[in-house]
Amino acid sequence: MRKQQKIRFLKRLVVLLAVLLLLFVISIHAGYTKMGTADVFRTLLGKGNAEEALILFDFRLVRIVLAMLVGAGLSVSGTIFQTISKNALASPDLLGVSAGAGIAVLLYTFFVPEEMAVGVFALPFVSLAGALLTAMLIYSLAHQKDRAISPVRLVLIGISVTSGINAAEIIFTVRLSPEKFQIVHTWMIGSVYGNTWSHVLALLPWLVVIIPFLIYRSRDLNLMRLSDGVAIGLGSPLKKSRFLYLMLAVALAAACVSVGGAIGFVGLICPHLARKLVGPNHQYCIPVSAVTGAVLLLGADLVARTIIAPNEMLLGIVVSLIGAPYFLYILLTSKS
Amino acid sequence: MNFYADNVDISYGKNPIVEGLSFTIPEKKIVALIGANGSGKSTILKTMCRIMAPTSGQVILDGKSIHSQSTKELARKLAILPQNPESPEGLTVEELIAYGRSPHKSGYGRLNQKDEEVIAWALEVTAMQEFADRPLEQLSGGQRQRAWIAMCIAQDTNILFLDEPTTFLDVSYQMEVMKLLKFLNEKYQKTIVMVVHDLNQASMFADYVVAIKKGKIISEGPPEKVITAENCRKVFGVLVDIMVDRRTNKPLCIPYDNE
Amino acid sequence: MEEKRKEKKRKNRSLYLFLFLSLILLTTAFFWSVCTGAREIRPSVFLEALTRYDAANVDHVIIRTLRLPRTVVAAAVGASLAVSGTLMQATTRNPMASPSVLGINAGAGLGLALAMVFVPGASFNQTVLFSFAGAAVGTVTIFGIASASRAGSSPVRLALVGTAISSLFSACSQAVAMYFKISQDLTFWNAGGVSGVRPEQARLLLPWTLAGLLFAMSIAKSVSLLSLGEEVAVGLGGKTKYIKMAASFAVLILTGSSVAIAGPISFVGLVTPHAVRFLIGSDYRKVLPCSMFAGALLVLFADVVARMVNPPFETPTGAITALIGVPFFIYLAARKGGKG
Repeated sequence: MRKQQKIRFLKRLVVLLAVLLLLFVISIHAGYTKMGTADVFRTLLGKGNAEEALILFDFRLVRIVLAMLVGAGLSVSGTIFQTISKNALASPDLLGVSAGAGIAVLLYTFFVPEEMAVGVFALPFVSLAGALLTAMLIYSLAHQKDRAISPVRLVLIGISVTSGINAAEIIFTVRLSPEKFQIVHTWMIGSVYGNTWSHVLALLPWLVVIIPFLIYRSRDLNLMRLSDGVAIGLGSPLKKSRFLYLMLAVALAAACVSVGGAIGFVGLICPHLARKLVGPNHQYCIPVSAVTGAVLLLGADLVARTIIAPNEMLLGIVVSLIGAPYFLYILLTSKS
Repeated sequence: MNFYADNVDISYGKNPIVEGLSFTIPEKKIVALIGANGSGKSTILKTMCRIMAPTSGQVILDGKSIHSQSTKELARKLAILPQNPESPEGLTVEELIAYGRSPHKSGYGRLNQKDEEVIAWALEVTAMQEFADRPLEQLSGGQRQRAWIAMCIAQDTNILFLDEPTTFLDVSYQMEVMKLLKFLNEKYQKTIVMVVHDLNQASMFADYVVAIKKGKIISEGPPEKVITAENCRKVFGVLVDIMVDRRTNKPLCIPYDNE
Repeated sequence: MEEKRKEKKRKNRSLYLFLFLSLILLTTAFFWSVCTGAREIRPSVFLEALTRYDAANVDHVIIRTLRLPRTVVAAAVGASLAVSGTLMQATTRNPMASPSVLGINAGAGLGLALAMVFVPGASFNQTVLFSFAGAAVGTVTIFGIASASRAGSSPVRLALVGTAISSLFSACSQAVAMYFKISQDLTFWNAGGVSGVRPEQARLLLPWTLAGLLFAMSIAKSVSLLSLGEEVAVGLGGKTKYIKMAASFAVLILTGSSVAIAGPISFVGLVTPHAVRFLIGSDYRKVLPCSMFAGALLVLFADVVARMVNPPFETPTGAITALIGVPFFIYLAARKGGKG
C-alpha cells in the first residue's frame, strides 16, 4: 500500500543522510594539514588556534557546504527538467544554463583587461546573467503561440543552441593567453575550490526558497509527468505550470552553476537514482534527489582533492568519471 | 447537465479540420463517435473536452464556455482518457489512481478519509485490487487500460471522455473495457463519450452513435438509425450487409466490398 | 502513368542540374581557396606551380606546401563527413544522426589526447592511428547502444544519447589533459580546422578518403533499401545486418581519418544530407554522391571564410561550419518538434 512507500522513503532518506554525514566527517579530516578528530572538534567548538580555525572554517567547511548545496540544487533542477521534458535522459545542461554561463565567463575574461577584472568574485554574477539569458533564448525559440511548450521541441532546441554556443566558445578560447585560459578552463569544468562564505550566502536563499516550494507543489508536478491530455483532464493548467517550473529549474541550476561552474552529470543521474530508490512521486523523489546530489558532489570533491594530492583534480572531471558509467548503465537498461 | 458545441471551427495550423459543428451530448448515455481515419472524430473529442481550442465558436457546459473556465473546476465535471497515455516508470496502480483526486485538492494536497474511500472504490469497481501495488509497466494491456479508467473514475466526474479506449487491445481485453464502461454508465449514470474504431462495438455498447466524415456529422442517433448500409457507404466508402444481432437486437454490419 | 514519368523526368533534371552546378562551384571554390590568404596569388601562377614548379619562387612554394594541401584536405574532409552523415541518417532512419551529434568526434578527441600524453614525439601517422582508434570506439559505442537498447528509436532519444556520450568522452579527455597539463593544446585541436595541414598529411589522408568514398558509393543501393525501414528492407531481399555493418565501417573510415587530421568540424554531416534531400529527393543512390559534392563545397567555402573573417588570424573552420549549421539545426528542431 501507499503507506509502505512512505516507510520505504523515510528509511532510504535516513540511510542517505547517514552516508552524507559519514562523507562530511571524512571530508573535514582530509586535507594537506593533518588534523586529528580531537583537534577538529575543538576547533569546531571555537577553541582552536587561528591557523586551525582558518583551515577548518575558511578552507574545508566552505567547500564542503558548497559541494552539498551545489549538488542538491543541480540534482533537484534535473529532477524538475526531466519531469517537464518527460525524458529520463534529458540533462538540465540542455536548458542552456551551463553553456550560457560558460560563454559569459569566457567573454568576460576575454574582453575585460586583467587589471580591471575584480577577479573570481565577479564571475558568479557574470555567469548568472549568461545562464538566464541563454535559458530565455531557448525558451522563446521553443515557445509556440497559444500552446503549452512542447517538451520534444524544447529538448531539440536546447541541444542545438548549446552546441552552437560551444562552437562559438572555441573561437575565443583558442586566442586566450595561457593564464586566462586556466581561469576559464577551471570554471568550465567546475570546481568548488577557492570559494568563500559569501558564495554560500549568495547560493543558499535560492535553494531554501525554491526546493521547499517544489516539494509543496509535488502533487501538481506529478501530473506533469503524464501525457498532456491526462494532465489537462486532471485539471493541471499545463501552459502556466510548465513555464513556472521550467523557470524555477533554470533559476536553481543557474545559481548553482554561477558558484560551482559547469558541473555536468549531477542533474542527469541523481534524479534517476532517486526515482529508482523511492519511485516517481515528487513528494518523495525531490528530497531524495537533493540528498543524493549532495552525496555525489561531496564524495566527488573528496576524491578530487585527495586522489593526486598535493595537487587537485577538478571536481567536474571526477563527477563525470563517476557519472558517465552510471549513465551508460541507464542507457542500456532503460526501455521505451 | 447541458453540454453542447455551438457552431465550432477547428483547425490544425492552417488546415481546417472541422467547420460549423453543432452537436449536443445526450445526458447519461454512452456516445460513440465513428468515422474513417482522418475524419476529425478525435479532433472533435479533444475539442469537446478542452485539450484543443476551437478557432471559432464555443463548447458550452452548464451555460459557460469550457475554454474560458478554470481547468481545475472542469476537471471535477469531466474526466479524460487520451489514446496511449504515458506514465513514468515505477508508478504503481494505486498511486496513479490517487492522481485522480488532484482536481479536488489544493496545495500539498494530503489525501483525506474521503479520498481514500474513493480510491478504494475505484480499485474495486475496476477489479484492480490485487494489482494495486504493481507498477503500470508490469501489467497486461487490458489491466493497464483498466487502471487508467480507474484513475478517471476516481476523479468522480459525471462525464467521461475516452479516445479509442480499445485500440491495441486483444479482443478479450476489448470486451473487458467495454463491459466496464457499460457498467459505469448503468450503475452510476455516467455520461460516456468515446471515439470507437469498430462499428460493431459501437453498435453493441453505445446508446447514441455519431457518424463523422470530413469534420461534418453525417448522421446521429441510436445505433439502429445510424448504422445502416447507406451511412456506411457514405461515411466509410464500404458496402455492407446489415443484420440484426439476435442477442441484442442491435444492427450488425458485415463489409463485403469497397464502393 | 504519364504524370509519373514527368515527375521522374523532373527529378532527374534537378539531379543533373545539381551535379553540374556543384562541379562548377567546386572548381570556383577550389581556385578561390588556393589563391586567397595572407598573400594573394593569381590563378595563372597556381597553374604554373603545378606544371613548372620552381622551388625558388615563394608563391610556388606557398601553393605547393600550404595552399594546395589545405584545399585538398578541406574538400576531402567535407566529402567524408557529409557522406558519413548521410549513411548514418539513412541506416538509423533518424534525421538527427551525424558524426558530431553522436559523439564520434569526441571519441577521436580522446584518442588524440591519449596520443599526446603517452607517445609524446609521436609521428603524424601514429597520432592519426590513435585518433582513428578513438573514433572507432565512439562509433562502436553509439551503434552498439543504439541497437542494443531502443535508444535509436526516436530522434530525440538518439540525440540525447549522442550528447551524453560526447560528454563522457570529453570528460575523459579533460581528465587526461588536466593531469598531464595539455588542456590548451587539446582545445586547439578541438577547434577543428585545416589551416596547418602539411603536404604529407594530405598524402596520408587521401587514400583513406578515396577508399571510404568508393566503398560508400558501392553500398548506396543497399543503403537506399535500408532507409525504407528494416522490415521492408528484409522483405525486398536486403541483408540488413550486413548493410548496417558495411555502413558503419564506411562511417568509421571516413570520419576517423578526417577527424584525425582536421579535428571535429561540426554540423557538416548533419546539415548536408538534409539540404541535398530537400533538393533532389530521398533516393540514397542519388543523395550519397550529391552530398559528397555538397559537403566538399561546404567545407571549402567555410575554410575560405575562416581565412577572411579576421586576417591575418585564422578563425577555426569548425566554428564557421557551426555558425552555418546551428540556425539550420534549430529550424529542423523547431519543425520536427512542432510535429511531436
